[in-house]
Amino acid sequence: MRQQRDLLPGTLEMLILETLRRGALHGYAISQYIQQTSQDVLQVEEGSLYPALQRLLREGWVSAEWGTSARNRRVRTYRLTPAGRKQLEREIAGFERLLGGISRVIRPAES
Amino acid sequence: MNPISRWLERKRVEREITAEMAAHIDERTEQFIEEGHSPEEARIQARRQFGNVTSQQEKSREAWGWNGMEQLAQDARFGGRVLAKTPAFTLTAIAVLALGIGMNTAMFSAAKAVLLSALPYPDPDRLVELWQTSKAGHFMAVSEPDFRDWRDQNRSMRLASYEGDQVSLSGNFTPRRIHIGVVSAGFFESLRVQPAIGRAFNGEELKVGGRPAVIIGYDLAQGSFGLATQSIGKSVRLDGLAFTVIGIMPPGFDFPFRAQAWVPQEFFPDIPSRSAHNYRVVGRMNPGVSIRQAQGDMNVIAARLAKAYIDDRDEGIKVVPLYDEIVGPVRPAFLMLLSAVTLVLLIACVNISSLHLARGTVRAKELGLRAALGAGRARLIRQLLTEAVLLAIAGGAAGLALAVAGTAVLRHSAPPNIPRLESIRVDTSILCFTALLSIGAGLLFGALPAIAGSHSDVNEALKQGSGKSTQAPQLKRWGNALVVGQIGLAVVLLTGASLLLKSYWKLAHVDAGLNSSGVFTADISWAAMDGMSVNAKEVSRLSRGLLAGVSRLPGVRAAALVQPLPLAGDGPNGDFEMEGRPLPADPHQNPNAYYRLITSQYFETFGIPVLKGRAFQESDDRSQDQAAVVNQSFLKEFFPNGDPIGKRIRFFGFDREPRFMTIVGIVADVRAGGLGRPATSEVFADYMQHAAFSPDATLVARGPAGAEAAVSAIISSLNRDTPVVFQNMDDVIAGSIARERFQTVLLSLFAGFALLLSAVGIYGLLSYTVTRRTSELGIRMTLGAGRKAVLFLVLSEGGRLVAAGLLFGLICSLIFSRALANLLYGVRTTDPGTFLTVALVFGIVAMLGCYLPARRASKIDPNIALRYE
Repeated sequence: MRQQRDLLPGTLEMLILETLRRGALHGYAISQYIQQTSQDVLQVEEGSLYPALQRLLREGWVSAEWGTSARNRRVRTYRLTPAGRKQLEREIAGFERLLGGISRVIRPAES
Repeated sequence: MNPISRWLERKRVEREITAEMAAHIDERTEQFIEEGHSPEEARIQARRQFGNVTSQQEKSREAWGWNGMEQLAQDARFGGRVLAKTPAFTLTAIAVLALGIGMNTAMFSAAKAVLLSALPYPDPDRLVELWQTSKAGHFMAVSEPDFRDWRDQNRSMRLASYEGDQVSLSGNFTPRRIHIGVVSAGFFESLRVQPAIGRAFNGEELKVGGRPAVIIGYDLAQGSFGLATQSIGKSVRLDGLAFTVIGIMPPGFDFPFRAQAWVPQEFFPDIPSRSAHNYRVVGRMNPGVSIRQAQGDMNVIAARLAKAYIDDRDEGIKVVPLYDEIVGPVRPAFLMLLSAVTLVLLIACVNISSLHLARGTVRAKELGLRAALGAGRARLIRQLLTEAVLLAIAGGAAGLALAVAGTAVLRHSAPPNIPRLESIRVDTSILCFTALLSIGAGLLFGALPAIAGSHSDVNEALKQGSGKSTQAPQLKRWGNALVVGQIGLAVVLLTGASLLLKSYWKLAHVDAGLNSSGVFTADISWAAMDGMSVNAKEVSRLSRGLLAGVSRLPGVRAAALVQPLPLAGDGPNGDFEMEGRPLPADPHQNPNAYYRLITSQYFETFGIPVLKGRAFQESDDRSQDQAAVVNQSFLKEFFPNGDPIGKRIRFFGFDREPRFMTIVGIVADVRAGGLGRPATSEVFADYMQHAAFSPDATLVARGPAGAEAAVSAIISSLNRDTPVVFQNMDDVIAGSIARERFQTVLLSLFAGFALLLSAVGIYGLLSYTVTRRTSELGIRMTLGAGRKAVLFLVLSEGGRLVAAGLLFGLICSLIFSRALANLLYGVRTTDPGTFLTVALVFGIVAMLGCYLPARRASKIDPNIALRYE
């Protein structure tokens, strides 16, 4: 079996929130968007999207309602809540701090 | 939210997640088809990309935190099914655990009753016992004048003296023998226990010849008078002397020596000698005084007394916590039994662990399948642990039932000289202890196989057959270590038990020097008190009447009275002088011997040979000259080169006015002080000549069983207030080693169980090995290995483990058996015979455990074996 590269914990949630910032999407579309925009760098098992969505629902960072997909299937559409928006900002700020730190370690000369 | 709507809500969410995921896979499939894949390929590709659906569904549910209880219930249900499918394993495991936990709970309940509970008096740690110590450091009771000086001169404690006695209690009820405490003023105050009904002794009662008063125990009051409250003011007779009941002690109070009634010491005349060590002393330390300060205080007094009185020279005083005094003597045996029973539980857990381990490996395929279907590693570990805990709880429940039965057996079978064991019961704290123990055991034996089991690599487990498993070498090492450890522990127990058994056997077969079979005894305390003193004439009349009556009974060949009965506790001893030999300057150097009062047929009754001279004759009774018979030890100690017959000796503490007694005969030694102790110098005097000594005597008679009723009739026709207690002499002797038997039986039981367990352990491990190696053994046989070779192959694998375990166990035994030194009689802790026997017995039983799987291996049909997965 091909080895999965794990994301940093919490990264998937952040990517989902970021994706939803552009507008409401259903699960399949979210996974499509993440794969395409990251140019397949983030090879996430598609199924793992759903536990993450449940966690976000539980925290109240996203809301969901049933609708119809472009291919005319009954799907659940997720929408970012104001609380989710704030959480996203916090997470991005934290992530950039982390990224900055990492790049300073990896390429000290350039920083 | 109520449970039903919560459940509905959850079902809704689960349905939504399932639908959502299905839609996702459908969308993806459709997209692949649009990209030109075949529908079949598209669906496979879509599923692969999605990952494990079950696992993701489970994780989604987990996001809501519902899973804990539900999974637990699921695990428990599944575990129950798994266990039910392998009844042999399950029943073995439950039985092993039940016995281990049951034994432990029973033993720990006993230990709690005997060792752990505080003394049942207020501020029990302030209570002390005081002893006089000899120059050699031996503990001695205290004389009355010394006790008074201790009591009046010390500044750190409140002291009281006490002694125990047995008397006849009579009144308007069937007479009975009871234990009484003869206690000084301040006794109840020191213990801080007062009569529950009525009052303590007052000044009128605390003086010689004062008003006779008795305080009785709660149970005795109820037994004799019905209602305890009604007994106040009633009259009872103790050895025939009338006493008025003035108080009832609270239920359960029985200090000292299981007393059922208490009379004041001050009521009886003083014994003025400082060398008459008759009394025990209890004290309560004043607030703020430490035991060291109390000891220091008493040291000063001891030094003062030693200077002032020749009898107190070189003697000291020792202050000991009362708890140590009461519990101390049985502590070593109890600690030994507790460690043994803990070892048994450890062996039981190791045993189940190894059984589990063997089974866990067989289950590798099942676990692999579950992992493939999406079970996480944590989930698998939890499943295995749940099964283990289920087993432990079942075993614990069965064990608790066993413990309840076990404590009842302990309570009834324990020898009477183990203090406080009668209060043993399985209480809530022991119940919690059992529960913790069983769950702890579950985790202990569950953890190792669970961790090993969850290592399963999904692909490997599925590829391989159930007969082989990749992690086998690692698991096998665990299994081997467990079996070796188990055997080692069992060998330690078996060695200890064998040493005790050998010691007990030696003790029980010691030649006591008397022929006890066919002799019955009857304990009598004549109700023949005349005021403060024994009515000697009456005692003589009753005794003669009894002996005459008994010897007329059909089948009675010999009968005598003796005081005290040999082998029934420590008898009296005293200093004496020999006519014509000057006494030593130091009274501590006085000749000293045990003495016993007997009637003429005593030696005949017990078959004790008269070596020289003669035994007593009935004519001695009426003679003015007092006669004495001595034993061989006496001869060796005091007349090593001469003939004592015709010599005269005089005991100082004998009678009111001690007289010289002429030695008329020499008899063989008897181990009268206990089977484990060598005989000591002993002097026999004629009971009839010293009838004023005490109203107590024991009738011993060689005669037919069933003579008891006739003897009772004779006694009550002579004096209806005299109760009698019958016992066979064989039982008296057995009773003298009851504690040794108790500890030996218990330890043997534990060791036997441990032996069985380790045989089961090695059987389980080898059976598993044989199953696992079936195809390999088949190949060997195809290639020409004979059945014998296969048998030998398996046997030698088992043999190596047994040998390693034996060696480990014997080395541990050499180290640990030293702890038994004080419990052994006539056996060294390194007794080679015992070690050899243990090795042999263990080897045979363990190899039997090896032989069964080995024989199965040798019966393997190569054709079938090769096709075996």
